Amino acid sequence: MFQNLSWSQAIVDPTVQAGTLAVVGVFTTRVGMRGFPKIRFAGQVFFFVALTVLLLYHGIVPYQEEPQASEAFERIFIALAKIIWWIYAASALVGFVRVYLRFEGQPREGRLVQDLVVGLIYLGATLSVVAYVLGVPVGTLIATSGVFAIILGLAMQSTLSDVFSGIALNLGRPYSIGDWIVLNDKIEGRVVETNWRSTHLLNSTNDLVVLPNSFLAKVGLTNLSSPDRSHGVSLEVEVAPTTMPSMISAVMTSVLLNSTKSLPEPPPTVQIKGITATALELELSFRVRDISEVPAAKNELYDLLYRHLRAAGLVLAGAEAAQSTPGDRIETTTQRKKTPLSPLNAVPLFSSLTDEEKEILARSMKRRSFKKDEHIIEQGDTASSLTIVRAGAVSRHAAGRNEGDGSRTVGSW
Amino acid sequence: MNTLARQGFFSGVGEAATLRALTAVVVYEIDQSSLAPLLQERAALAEELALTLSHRVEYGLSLTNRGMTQKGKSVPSLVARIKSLFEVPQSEL
Repeated sequence: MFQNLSWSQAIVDPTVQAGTLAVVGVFTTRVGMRGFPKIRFAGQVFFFVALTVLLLYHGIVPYQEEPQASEAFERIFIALAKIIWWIYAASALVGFVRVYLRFEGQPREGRLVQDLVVGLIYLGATLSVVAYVLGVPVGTLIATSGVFAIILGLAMQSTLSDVFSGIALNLGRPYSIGDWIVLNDKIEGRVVETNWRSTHLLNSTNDLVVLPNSFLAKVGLTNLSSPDRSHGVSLEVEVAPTTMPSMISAVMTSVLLNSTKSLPEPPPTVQIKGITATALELELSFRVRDISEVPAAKNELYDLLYRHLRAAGLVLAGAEAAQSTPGDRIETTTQRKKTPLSPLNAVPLFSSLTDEEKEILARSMKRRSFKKDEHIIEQGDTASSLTIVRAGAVSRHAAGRNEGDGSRTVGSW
Repeated sequence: MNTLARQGFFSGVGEAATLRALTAVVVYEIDQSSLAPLLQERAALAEELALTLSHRVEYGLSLTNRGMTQKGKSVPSLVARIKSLFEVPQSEL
C-alpha cells in the first residue's frame, strides 16, 4: 500500500492527517497550555472539532459501528482513530468539568464531586470505545459486570462507605477547611484537609488527627467557626455575698468593659445564676474574634477580675468567706475603702516603695471625679501628675488613628 | 490598679492619646512635687521605678496602645530622665 505513495498522496491520506492532528493536538494542549486550564479547554475543544470534521470528511463515523470489515491495516487504523476521537471527547468534557464545575465558588470542596464526574466521563468513554470500536455489545457486558460489581463492593466495603460518606459530607458541607470542629467524643481540631477517604484535623497540640469519613458521618459535631469566626466564652465566678448582688454584678460589668479581647458587639453580659449563704454565682459571657483568642481573653479577664474584686473590697467565695459573717465583711470592706493607702498598694508601679513612702504619697493624693465622656487627659498634654483610676472605665483615643484600634479601654477600678 | 499618664509623669513626654471617661470615673492624682522628695531621699527608687515602668510598657504594648512607647527607651535612659525631671542629683552610674 505504501510502495507507490507520493508526497501528495501521503498528505491526503486520512491516516497521516488524523495521526498528525492527534499528535499536534496532544502536544499543544498537554505541554503548551499546561497551567492555563481555560485556554487548554478551548484548545481541546478546537482539536476535537477539527478531528471530528476530518474523520467525517473521510467517511469514518466514530460513534457508529463500522458496517463492513475491510483490510486489516485499515481496520486497525480506523479503530485507532476512533479511540483517539473518544479520548479527545472525554478529555474535552473533563477540561470543561475542571474549569467550570464548582460548588459555591469553592474549588477545593468541589474537588471530590469533580473527581466523581470525571470518573463517570471516562467510564462512559471506555464503554463507548468497547461498543463502537470493538463492536462488543455493552448491554450484555453490563449485565455480567453486575457479578463483578458485587464482589468488588463486598471487598471494598469500608472504603466505599468512606467514599460515599465523603460525598455526603461534601454536599452537606457541615464544615469547611479552616473551621474548628468538636466531635461528640471530645476530639477537636481545625480542619486542614478533606479528601476521598478521610478528613484531617490539626488539634491544639499540633498533631494530625485523621478521621475516616464514614465515622464523621455517624457522629455529631459542633462547628465552632460557624456561622462566623467569633466565638462565645463564658466564665463562672463565685463571689462572697458581702454586698448587694446588683453591686457585684456592676463590678463584673466593668470587668468585661475593660477586657481588650472581648468584642463590643454583641455586648458582654453578666448573669446572676444563684445565691447561697456563702456565694453569689455569676456567669460572665462575651465574644472573642477567633477561637484562638480564648485563652488570652480568659487570662486577661481573670486578672481584671482579681484586681476589680480587690478594689471593690469583694472576696471570692471560699472557706474564709464562709467562716466570717457577712456583717463583719462589710465592715472591713468599708474600712478598706477609707484608707487611701489601698489604691497605692494595688499599683504595681509603687510595689518598690516602702510603707512609709506610700503613706507620704497617700497623704498628698488628690481625689477627683469625672463624669461620663469627660476628658481626663488631652492628647499632647504633659501630665504633671500621675493618675490612678479608682473606679470606672477609661478609653484611649489617639488622633489620626482608626477609631476601632485607637479606642481602647485602658483601666479601671 | 491602672495608672494613667505614666509616660508624661515620669519622663515629661506629651500624652500619645486623649483619655476619655467611659463611665463615671474616680481617680487619685499624685503630683510630681509629692514624689520628688521621696526620690531625693532614696536615689535607688528612681531605678526601681524605671525598671517597673519599662516592664509595664512592654506589657502594655500588647494590652493597650502602641503609640505610648518610644523605641529604644532603655532603663538607664529612663532613670536619667526621671532623675532630671524630679531634680534628683545625678550620681555616677
